Amino acid sequence: MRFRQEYISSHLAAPGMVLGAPTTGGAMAFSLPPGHALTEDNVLQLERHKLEFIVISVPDSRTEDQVADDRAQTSDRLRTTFAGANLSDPYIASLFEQVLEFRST
Amino acid sequence: MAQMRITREQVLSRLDVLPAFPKTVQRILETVDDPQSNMTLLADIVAHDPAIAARVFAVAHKAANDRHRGVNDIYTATSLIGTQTVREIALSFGVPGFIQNLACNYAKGEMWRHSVAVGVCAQELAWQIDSRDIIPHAFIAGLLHNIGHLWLLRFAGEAYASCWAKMRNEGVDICRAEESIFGVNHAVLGSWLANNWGLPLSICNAIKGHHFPDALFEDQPLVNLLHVACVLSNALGLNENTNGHVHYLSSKACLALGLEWTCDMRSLFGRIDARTKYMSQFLND
Repeated sequence: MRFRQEYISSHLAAPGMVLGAPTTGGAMAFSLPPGHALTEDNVLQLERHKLEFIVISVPDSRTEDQVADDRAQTSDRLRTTFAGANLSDPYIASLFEQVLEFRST
Repeated sequence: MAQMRITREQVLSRLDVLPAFPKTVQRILETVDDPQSNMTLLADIVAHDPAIAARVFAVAHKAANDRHRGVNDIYTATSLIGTQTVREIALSFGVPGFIQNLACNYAKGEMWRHSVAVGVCAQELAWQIDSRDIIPHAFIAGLLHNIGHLWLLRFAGEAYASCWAKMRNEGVDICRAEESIFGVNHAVLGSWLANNWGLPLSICNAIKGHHFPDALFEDQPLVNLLHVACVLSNALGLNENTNGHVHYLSSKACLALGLEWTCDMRSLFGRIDARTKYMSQFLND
């Protein structure tokens, strides 16, 4: 099973979510390792310490074909966003690729 | 399409209809920038705003602890942290609520969400390139960058709708569409407002140049940063209910900031995405 890392706003954190990166708050008031499954207390801690985001690890059960399909759909959406831009400009092209990579994984 | 020329005088003459820019913030900015002013006057102004005074005390206490000194009054606190820090505290306390008030009254929230997104992008980009000089103003500049939009929505709503139609139907850049109808674009108009409120020149220039930084400014990092932040927020689709478009990205601005978009940006984009959602929700409370 593959896993992907997802950045989420901490107000969307819920018990059972598995951390994908170390999470600390309040000048080391608490520290949670990657792989830790959030408890209800942890979610309250995040809120209390006003953490803005956390990184979670999410199982990715898509096949290679599904991943390719998703990427193609994301690319189509992005082409609409970039419709007025000159995609042969190297900076625009790199930005396009970076956003595509981020939104497809 | 009918033209409706707008001048700086007209813009400033209608300011009293809009929610007032926070008086304390304006007085702090004026005092900090006035070479004839003094610390006693600044401390007196700070003391009249409980939220700003509390933050000044908190920052001063931390600085005092580092230096093993005590802070018992607002004059000592203000002197200890310095005028620039007082200015940053005043901006960070006063501006978000003011923009939220304007945006929610006149743009039904979409503009507010976009402003928050650009603010977060600007702040994250500033951290990413580790540019200490512009970090303090990055978020505020992002929140304020479309203040000219809000004025046009409020005072020229019908004509402004024509601009948006022109942009959508003819694929014209919004600034060019505005110039063809009003003789001025929202970026320049916004800089007039910011200047009138006494905001730092770097923020006024960034607002003015956020669409086309190369045309007006050389080597002004906050102008470049705000431009890239605005493009990035549209590229990432951070404003969920409206489709932002990417028309132009200044290679000069990217180069000046050291942003080549070649290294892995997933962590930066992830933080921007998540923090924008958090801030939109948090600042809406």
